[in-house]
Amino acid sequence: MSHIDTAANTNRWRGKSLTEKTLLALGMLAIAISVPSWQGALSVAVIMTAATLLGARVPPGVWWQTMIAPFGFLLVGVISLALQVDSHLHVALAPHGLELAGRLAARALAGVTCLLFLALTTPAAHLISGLRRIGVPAEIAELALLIYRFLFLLTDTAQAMHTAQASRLGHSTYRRHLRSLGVLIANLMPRSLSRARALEIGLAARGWRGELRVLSPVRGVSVAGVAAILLVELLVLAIGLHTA
Amino acid sequence: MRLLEARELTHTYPGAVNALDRLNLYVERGRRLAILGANGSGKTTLLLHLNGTLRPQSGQVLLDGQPTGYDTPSLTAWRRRVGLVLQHADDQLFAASVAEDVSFGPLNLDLDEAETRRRVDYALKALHIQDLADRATHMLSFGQKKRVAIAGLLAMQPEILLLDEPTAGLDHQGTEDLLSVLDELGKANTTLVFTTHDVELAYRFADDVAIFNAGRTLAQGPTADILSNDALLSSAALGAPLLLKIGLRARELGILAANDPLPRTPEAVLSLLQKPHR
Repeated sequence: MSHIDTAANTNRWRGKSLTEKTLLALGMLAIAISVPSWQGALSVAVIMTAATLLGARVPPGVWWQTMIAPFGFLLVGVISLALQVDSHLHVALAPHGLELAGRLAARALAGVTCLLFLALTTPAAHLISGLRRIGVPAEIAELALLIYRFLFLLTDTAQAMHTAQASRLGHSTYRRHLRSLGVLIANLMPRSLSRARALEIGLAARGWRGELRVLSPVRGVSVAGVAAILLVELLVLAIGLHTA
Repeated sequence: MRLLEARELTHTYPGAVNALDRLNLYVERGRRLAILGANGSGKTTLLLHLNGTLRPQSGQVLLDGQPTGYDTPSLTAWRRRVGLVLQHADDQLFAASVAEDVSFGPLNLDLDEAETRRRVDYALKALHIQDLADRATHMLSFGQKKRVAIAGLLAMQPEILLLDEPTAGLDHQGTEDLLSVLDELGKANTTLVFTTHDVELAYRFADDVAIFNAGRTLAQGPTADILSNDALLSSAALGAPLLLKIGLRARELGILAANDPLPRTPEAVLSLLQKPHR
């Protein structure tokens, strides 16, 4: 979780406009889903991975760490598509199984790389202000913002409490570990409430009247960037349709 | 001129002793006031009364000599003039990026977008954190968060800035940086009020000091007068600042002329030390 956030806040393309990044990620996603050929999907996966690692310079370790969970699911799904078990418990390749599995793997991989690109290059702050801009109700955007902000405060607090417990041997046996964990969770609740109350005082001091309005910085959309993205997408689309 | 004044304020928390006990305090325009008291003496409770967050159980707060109201329009007008910076910056920052967070206050003053951007730029520049504008708030260091919290109020351009323990938890350099920023603000005509238990800080930075103990103001007046009163300080569990002691001793010994100003910085004290003439 926090390594995704760190990458999103430190990568080379963090300041690029949200419009360009979503145009690339969602456009490629649409192509990956709609184009029938595996070659099309595979080129999407390759291009999006290159954009993430070479373009935005997201550390490959972070990319892989984030990738590994969906990759695991994908692998299990693909194996169950490719193989079949008959009534004598003989395992064999399913008819068209490999082809089907390959197609699915290429598409799913393409989809995941698109979303990963967006997640690893775009700070949550930009995504939330984007939500506002496309007309998502303010209440939902504000809730998302506060949850995001408090997630970090809460994990910090939980981590500090865990360290304090562990240093007093609260996690030395399994039984104690469970007990300490229970106490920790129970303590987070009143702490969160008092934090929320303190925040209310802090915001009231700054004239809060029930609405969390902020001014987001303008990030210019580059015409050349949009043109390049559209060009790449057309190219991939052409490959996908040509090989179908 | 008394910009803000607390008269006979009383506040009791349920099941506890009086946090404020018929407290009197005044804030004069353009002067820096340190509210000096030991831990748990009720300093924060006092600040929360001075911007209308808490309502006194008895007594009143006066703004420009007029008793303040507690309805929404009065509170809005009050907080527009009196800004409060909480001790824990995390209690104040909510937005995902620094510039967005600082823009919150000006937008609540119903300023337009252009003016808000101007105010945000001004506040970030005043605290020397322009380079943090686009950073995520949760990725800042302790000292940086503190500055962003102050910038958030400065962008509202209040006449008085109340700061709760502004240097608590800051390292030496962080404290120096913050003080020089506050110094610039003070010179730009913002009236500063801060709470602290640090007599050295109060001596160095404040024009006036109020000694606070058990919910009351024991004394309020010019810094050197108040802080040289040993009996007064010890009755509030405080001790005299070392720099002031040295300065007074230097006067006694004739190293410092009676009408020379007392040294307020370590550098000024060091310059008193000279090689004896032989």
